[in-house]
Amino acid sequence: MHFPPEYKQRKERRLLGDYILELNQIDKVYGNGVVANRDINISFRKGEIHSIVGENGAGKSTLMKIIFGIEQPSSGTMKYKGREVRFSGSQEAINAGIGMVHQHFMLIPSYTVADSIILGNEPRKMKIFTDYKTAVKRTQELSDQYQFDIDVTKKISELSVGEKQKVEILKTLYRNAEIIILDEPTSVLTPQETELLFQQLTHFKETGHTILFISHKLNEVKRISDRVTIMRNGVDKGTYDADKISLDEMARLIVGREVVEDYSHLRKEVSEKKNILEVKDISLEQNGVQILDKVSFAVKSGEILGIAGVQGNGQSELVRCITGLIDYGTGTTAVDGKDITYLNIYDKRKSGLAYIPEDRMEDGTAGAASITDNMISTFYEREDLNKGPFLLLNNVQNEVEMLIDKFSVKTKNAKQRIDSLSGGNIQKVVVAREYRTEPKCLIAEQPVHGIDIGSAEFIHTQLIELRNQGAGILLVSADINEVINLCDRILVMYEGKIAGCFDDPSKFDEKELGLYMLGVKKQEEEQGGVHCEQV
Amino acid sequence: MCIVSRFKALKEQLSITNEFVFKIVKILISILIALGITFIVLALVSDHPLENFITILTAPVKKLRYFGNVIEMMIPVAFAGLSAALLFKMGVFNLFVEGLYYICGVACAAVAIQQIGGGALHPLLCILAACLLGSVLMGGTGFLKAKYNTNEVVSTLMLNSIVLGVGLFCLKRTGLQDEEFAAIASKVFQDSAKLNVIFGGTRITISFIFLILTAIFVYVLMYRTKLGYSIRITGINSKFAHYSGINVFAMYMIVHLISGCIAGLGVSTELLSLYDRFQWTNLPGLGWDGILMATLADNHPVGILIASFGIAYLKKGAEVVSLTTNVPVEIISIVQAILVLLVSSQRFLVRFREKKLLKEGMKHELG
Ligand SMILES: Nc1ncnc2c1ncn2[C@@H]1O[C@H](COP(=O)(O)OP(=O)(O)OP(=O)(O)O)[C@@H](O)[C@H]1O
Ligand SMILES: [Mg+2]
Repeated sequence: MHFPPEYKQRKERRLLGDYILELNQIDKVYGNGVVANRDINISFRKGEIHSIVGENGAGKSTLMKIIFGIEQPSSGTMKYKGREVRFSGSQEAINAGIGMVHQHFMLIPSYTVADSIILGNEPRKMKIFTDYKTAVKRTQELSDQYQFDIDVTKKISELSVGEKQKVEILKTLYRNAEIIILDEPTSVLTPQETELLFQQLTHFKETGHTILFISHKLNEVKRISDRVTIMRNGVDKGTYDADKISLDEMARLIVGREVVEDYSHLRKEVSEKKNILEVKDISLEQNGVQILDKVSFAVKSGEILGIAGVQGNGQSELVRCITGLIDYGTGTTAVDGKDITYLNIYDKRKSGLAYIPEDRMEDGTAGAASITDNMISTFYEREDLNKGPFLLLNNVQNEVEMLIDKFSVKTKNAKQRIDSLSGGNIQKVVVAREYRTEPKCLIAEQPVHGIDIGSAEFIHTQLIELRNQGAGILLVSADINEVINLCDRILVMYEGKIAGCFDDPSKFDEKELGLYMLGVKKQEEEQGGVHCEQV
Repeated sequence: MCIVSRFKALKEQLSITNEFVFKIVKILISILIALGITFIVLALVSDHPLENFITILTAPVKKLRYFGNVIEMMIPVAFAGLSAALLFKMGVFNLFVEGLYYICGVACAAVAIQQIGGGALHPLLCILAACLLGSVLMGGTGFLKAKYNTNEVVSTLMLNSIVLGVGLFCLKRTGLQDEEFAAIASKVFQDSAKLNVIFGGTRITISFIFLILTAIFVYVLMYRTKLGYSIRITGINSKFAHYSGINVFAMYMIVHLISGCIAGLGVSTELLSLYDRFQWTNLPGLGWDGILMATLADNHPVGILIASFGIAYLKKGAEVVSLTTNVPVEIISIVQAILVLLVSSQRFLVRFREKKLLKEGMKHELG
């Protein structure tokens, strides 16, 4: 058959322009006057994995929320499958075939995992009743398929952040949406878990789904995506083919400078070595399951001790026992030689303990309070901030502005509600606050969770600074590279026990650690366990 | 044009933020809306709405006595509002202030009928009795909330009826009842217990000063002190407060104790200023009005003063109108209800504000 040439051209153009979603001149101004998106033009192809990267507060989440219908654009249009659409709520977006994993979880604490996953899409019994048995079976299958290892009958409120993240992912994948938006799904996942998620995403892509992916881990981005859009300060700075842009180039476009991840030259030997944090025989049993089994170790002054391990092997609980957020474990904790086991949190902090919690929205901040109020919660009683019963508001303001500046929190002013900040900027507030308490011992759980590479470098440098000044730091992170780059020693936890202990930073090996994390290898009691307790 | 730029310069000089201007505008518009609604309601029930409307607006300032009445009406409601606002700010929707107004009133009466002697001692003891009982009872609800996380709405609603029963029982059976009086009423208050008028020509007593002091106290406590800071933080996210090392249980208790004390102060000064004996046989409703004022004012102490003054003003105006026409005083209750609905939906200005900010934000960013 013969087609006229114009037809062929048109067909080609149509194929090239086979965009499932087109954003045209999207602007977004929030109620407080912050311009989060300005003149965004991005087209997403059907069946691609398209990453959005950019510094904290660049407007990535805002843009995704606009696509998903939970925020309305101030101006601009959106075309979905060639037709102009405007979603006035997430339900409309879901009905149209769009799913989203939010940066901050949207889960109901009293629901079980199974309930949460099937919500809005329940298997039915006799048309009206939710068939809970089928739901449990199906969701457990789904979870096992990704080797996520979650008990779907558990309540959301009992889950760690990593597990909640997995539930969010399952919830969205369960719906089998055509466009799947993932806003920083991997920031609290271990490399193995990320790997499995990526396999699934690739599979989705091959079956014609479109995936919008946000992450601050650029190597992940480069690996998984077909194309990458870079955002800066609310504006899109261009879309690149992932295989044509190097990691350095990407980093430079995002941060505007080179980023180093090797901190070894910053480390200084600290002369006086004593035990800053001593943990002895911590055990914890929940619902008949031994979550922690006689964990003992010590963090010395001038040391960063890392705890690695696949999430759910007791790390969160260990930290919660030490910091006093749960108080029903057994065993003892001492800070700088002083037993703090039975002190309340106030006195624990007074003894020199500070804590960056893994869940910044639940424990780490009060959402409806201002940045100022959130910034001083752990040291508002400091002498220079008070006079008698009164807070010296001017001093407080200066202090807060200093911290905002130092940690480059992106905000209009300190009076803004903290939940109007972008995820990474909220995290910066939490870190700044705990840093400012000048702790003897800092427990840092996922300290750079959701923070862009430039700021992460800064925070890591600050942690090393603290260490050089003689503080002891316990670092818990799912990011094995972070642990390797920062720590002087590493413990690996497996099933509530310390499975391995590594002393020499130059010999840290990701593969080797991985084997311990998965429980394949284990140091014997004589070598490992005992060794870690001692100074 | 000139005025606009001058205004802008002034604004910059005083470093007034847009947020602040919006707050003022919001208050002004709220007042306009309140008046608008009053007029509409009037138009529905009255033959001469405009005339009546003007009377409502002008009557209270025409006679000193009337204006005094406005202040008298405002005082107990504002006290109740302050009491409730403290708890609401803490995220506790405790409605016990209504019941406290009754039972603390009985306590106050029990002391006021005794012969104790002159000077400031007698009223002080009356007030103290009411405040103490208020604190203890409210503290009880606070304990239940903090310790067992009971649902305070249900439990305090029930408590309101219970304390009414208990109060009536005390009135009748514990020697408070005036046997020569046909209805249920306490004996006559001793003259020594009563508060003195401080503005001649009105019945305004020192309770007005107390009110102003209490409002200042609440404001300073909440926004200027360490304690208030930890209270606010606990109210917003108690998990975060706990994590920060704040004693959450103590915060709940302290707020409830203060709130109960303010309720006691409100009702006792009311009784000692305006009443000769205690003869409420039902919940007085002042607590409910206070709760509405707290809602109207978004729990801000100054807002509560403004709101309760405004409503009292309209009420007095309507009262004057009702003397000569068939317009009932109750129209003000309707106005009040509509206002609360409007404010608690809280959306009525947001649209406008966002639009303005949008324009400004764009200009700022692009310019
Ligand atoms: N609800 C809100 N109200 C007001 N301002 C907001 C709100 N949400 C976000 N912003 C502002 O919009 C800007 C963009 O935020 P957004 O959350 O989109 O950033 P992001 O690119 O996702 O950053 P991150 O990497 O930290 O998650 C920020 O300056 C933030 O302060
Ligand atoms: Mg974000």
